[in-house]
Amino acid sequence: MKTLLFVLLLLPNFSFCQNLNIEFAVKYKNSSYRNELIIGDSITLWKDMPSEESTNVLDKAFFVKNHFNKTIYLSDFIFNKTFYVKDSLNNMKWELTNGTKIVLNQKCNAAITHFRGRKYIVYYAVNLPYSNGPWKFGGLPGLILEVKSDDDLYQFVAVKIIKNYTTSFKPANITNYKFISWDDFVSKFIITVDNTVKMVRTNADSDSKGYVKIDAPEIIYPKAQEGTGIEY
Amino acid sequence: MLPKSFILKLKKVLVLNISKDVNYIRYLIFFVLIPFTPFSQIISGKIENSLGEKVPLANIVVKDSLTAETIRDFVIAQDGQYSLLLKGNFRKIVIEVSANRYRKEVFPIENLDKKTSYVHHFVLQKDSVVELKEVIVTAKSPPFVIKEDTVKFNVAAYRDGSERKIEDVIKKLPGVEVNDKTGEITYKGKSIETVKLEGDDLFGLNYSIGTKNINVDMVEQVQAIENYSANPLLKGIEGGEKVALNLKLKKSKFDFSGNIDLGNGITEGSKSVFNSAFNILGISKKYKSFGTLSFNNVGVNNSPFDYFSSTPSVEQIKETDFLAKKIIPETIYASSLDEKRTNINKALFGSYNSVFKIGKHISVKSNLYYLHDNISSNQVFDNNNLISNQQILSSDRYDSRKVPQQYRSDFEIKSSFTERSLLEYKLTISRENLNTSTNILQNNSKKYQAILRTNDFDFKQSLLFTQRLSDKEAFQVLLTQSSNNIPQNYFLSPSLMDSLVYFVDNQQSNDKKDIVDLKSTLLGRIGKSKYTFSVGSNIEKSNFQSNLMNNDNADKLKNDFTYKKYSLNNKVSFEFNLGNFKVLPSYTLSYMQQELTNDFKNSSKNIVIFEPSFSLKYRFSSSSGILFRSNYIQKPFSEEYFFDRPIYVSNRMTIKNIPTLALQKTSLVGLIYLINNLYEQFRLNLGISYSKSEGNYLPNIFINENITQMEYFYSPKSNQNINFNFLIEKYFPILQSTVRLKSNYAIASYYNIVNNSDLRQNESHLLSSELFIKTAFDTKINFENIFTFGQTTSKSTNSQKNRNSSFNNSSKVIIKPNKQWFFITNVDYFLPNMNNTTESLFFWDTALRYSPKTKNIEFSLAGKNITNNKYFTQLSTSDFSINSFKTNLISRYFILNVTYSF
Repeated sequence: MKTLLFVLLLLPNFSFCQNLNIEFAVKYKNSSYRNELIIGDSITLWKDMPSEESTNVLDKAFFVKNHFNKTIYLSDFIFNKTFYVKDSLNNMKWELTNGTKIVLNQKCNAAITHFRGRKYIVYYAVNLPYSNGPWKFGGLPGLILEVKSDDDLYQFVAVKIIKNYTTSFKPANITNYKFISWDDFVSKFIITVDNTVKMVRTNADSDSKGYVKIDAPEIIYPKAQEGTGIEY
Repeated sequence: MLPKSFILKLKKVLVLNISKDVNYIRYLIFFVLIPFTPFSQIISGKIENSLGEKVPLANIVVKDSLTAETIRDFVIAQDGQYSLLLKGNFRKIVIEVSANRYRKEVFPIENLDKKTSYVHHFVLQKDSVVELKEVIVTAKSPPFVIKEDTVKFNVAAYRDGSERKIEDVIKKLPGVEVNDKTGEITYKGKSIETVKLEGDDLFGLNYSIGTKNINVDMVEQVQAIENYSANPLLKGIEGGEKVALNLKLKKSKFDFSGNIDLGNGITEGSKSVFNSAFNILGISKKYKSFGTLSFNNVGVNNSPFDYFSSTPSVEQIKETDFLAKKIIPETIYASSLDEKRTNINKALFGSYNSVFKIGKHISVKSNLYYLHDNISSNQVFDNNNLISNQQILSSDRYDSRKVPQQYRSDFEIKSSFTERSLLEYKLTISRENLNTSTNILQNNSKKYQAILRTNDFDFKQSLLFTQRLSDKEAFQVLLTQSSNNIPQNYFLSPSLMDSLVYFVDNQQSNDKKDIVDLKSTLLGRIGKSKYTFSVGSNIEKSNFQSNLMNNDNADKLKNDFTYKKYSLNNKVSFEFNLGNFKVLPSYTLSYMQQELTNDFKNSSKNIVIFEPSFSLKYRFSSSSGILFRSNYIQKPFSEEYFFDRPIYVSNRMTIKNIPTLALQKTSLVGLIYLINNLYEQFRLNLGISYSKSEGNYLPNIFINENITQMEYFYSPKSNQNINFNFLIEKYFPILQSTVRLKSNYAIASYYNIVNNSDLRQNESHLLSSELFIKTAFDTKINFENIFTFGQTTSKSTNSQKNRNSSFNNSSKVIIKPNKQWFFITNVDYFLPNMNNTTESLFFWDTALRYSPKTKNIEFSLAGKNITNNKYFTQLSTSDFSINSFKTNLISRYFILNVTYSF
């Protein structure tokens, strides 16, 4: 806990020096985004790279991996409400496989994981000795440069690596946020989806039915996220 | 390579360092694992740097050889310690250790003994090659960000058909509202541009053909698209935050599919009722089509055109400037009651819509429509006029039969010569014939017979060229030409003009409007801001003739004028995104020349018009925001105010004007506050708007028992409107119910002259409130109740208030015992005048549906108006009258419906 506090208090003035910055092309279903992964000694940041057109300024989204206490501090949301969630770092069980691939001139090996309801195949570079990767991915003996879900809905592909990247980072003061555990987030998610579905049901004409389906990489509430979704 | 002396061979012992706090369970697991890993070797040790310091993080991988590509096993070493439990049976391995800022170290072990544990310590050397400069490696990458501005709603997965249409599902989607009369769909308060079918805009603005007729079971998903651009070349640079819906079809619905609905039943006097339809959908990669043919006499309108209440369609509202006027109105009026109770019809509607892709660059779309209806009604109007302490009573009974017929075809061709340019040509030709014959009983004594024939010929074509100049700019040229001609012929017998001399009046009217409009636009984006700059010119010409003839065929009251309007205009608009603010300023600057020419006079007016507009949006959070809007519009009047001799428009009314070429100047200010919090299941809308129109044609009304003469004259006096609206909605988990309160209060201030009075200032107040409660119990039974209260108050200076209050309560019981059976019954109670409780009405309707599990067939039985109400009366007030309007209803009927889907 002391280490955590120490790192978090340091954050407002935190500067990275000579670290690694990787830009990822991210595909979430039919949308595509750019994100950057900035790896430092004590923490890692996973950040949206807002496009010029982006007008979404309200979302003070953040995603910080704390290497010391093996925790991810992130903002997640249920519909319009933002939550600050603590999740375990490198919470994935890996199965090494034979495939190899060159990504950005780096020789990569393949590995497979099943993470929160989805199967992913990833490629990691042993020559980049960071046990890290995009989003929540990590825990392999090398930096993960490519991730694809086997249903092809989600993917992260490194498109740019900057070695010896120097930047300073001024995040919102993380100590101001109240973090809830992943398990609490999951139970809030389920209750909210159930209530919202019921509200939609009361808006409905009585003699027709429909389904609400929530798309997210993590399957938290299978009933609302798999197949046709949840009936209303 | 490290010298072999570093290897310490040890007999296999348990080297796992089990910490003190380890619990029994973990120990047990370890214990259990041993028998399953009899061949595992354990390799462990320290990882330090040359100064003897622990290396905090290092990766250890196991390979078969130095050159092997495959990684057999790995472990992440932390805090200078590692322990590797090999899960295979290896004879020979290479261990590779790498850590950030250290050189990689490799260590081979040969002749591995499966019964031996190994300890090996690594000493890592600092990487001597220190790259101080940034080293960048990039890949050829896909487009930067494509954010799909789409919200998806998955729709019922019915394989068994039903009469339920996709509109019924769209209605209940969060944020979507459907206007029952016009079929207009709004999403998040904005009128949608279109409803696409699998990404193709098949229907254009007449999208209700699709939503009213496509069966729910054909659609997998309804997608709401925000920041929609009909033109792909304008994606990302077009402002206006347009929205659209897309219907995603089920995969199995590719190729040909459809449904047949057959409904038959009986009503009063053993007459039959029917409601049948045939829909066919053809989908392939290059071709999409939707055809519908329907026939009913139960008040259902499957078309986008409303001939019962003459409510303009979405397209007619958007294109109103291009349309000529129907000066003589129809005699059938719609009540506030649902048209499915009052529209006594016999409607045939057919439409075929298709889009072909020819090669990669050309697509051709066509829409064909045919409509024929036969609408009958008996309506009674009782007017109690209270004018200068005098009571003038009048009544009219209309027995009408209206036969509308419409043929229409739309054609569109799109061609993209290059990736950056697009040429679109659109053509619409339509013809409408309306024949209404009415028997009239005026004041319970005088009988009239009236026939109104209205024809409407409409032709419109447009050519649009779009060139994307760069990622951030595009240029468009649009040329539009339209011609609309509406000849009307109204016969009234006996003559209203002079019943002693003539036995028939023949009022003719013909309005023809031609428009040519040319506009070029530059659209672009700078950072997060967008701009539009356009210049255009518009030529409008209206030719209007009217003539009253009697059976002698001699011209009596003749109007013949030409109105021409030329304008050059420049419009500039911006959309600035500044943090949580969005600022949208714009202006239109025009030079306008108007000319009005008739037999005697030629008047003209040239004017420069400046019309600014300003909107501001502020987001408090992702679920709440405020919108401020203001604009100033200067508009010339159109031809309905330019004829100066009376036109006979009904058995009691004549209209004329004192024309001038003045402008109406309207200022509008509005403020809306919105909360849409899905997480809390809470919605709040608060709105206030104020408008002031300076310069109006005010009515000078003369009323007696037999006749109403209207003369519109221009006055600079201003009419004002204030409107408040309020909506609050919350789902209460504890009650498992949603409660919604919706209120609207409107105050209008306006002027008129009645029976030679001075100019009167009048005020009308309109209040309507609705309380909605619906349960979402997990039981087989659910309830819904809607209570509606309405009040109208009208008042003029120095006269008494005219007020009427009404209410309506509608209750539903919904029973779903299982997936196959569905039962609903509802009771509607109406009290049109709260001062007279004897005039209340009860309606009772019920429906039973059965969908067998596996068949593509469904049965339903419905009873409508079971209490068999014959008439519905509603009251309204004006500043000088209280009016009662009574209309007949569709009699009690029972109908059995079978739907087969293929």
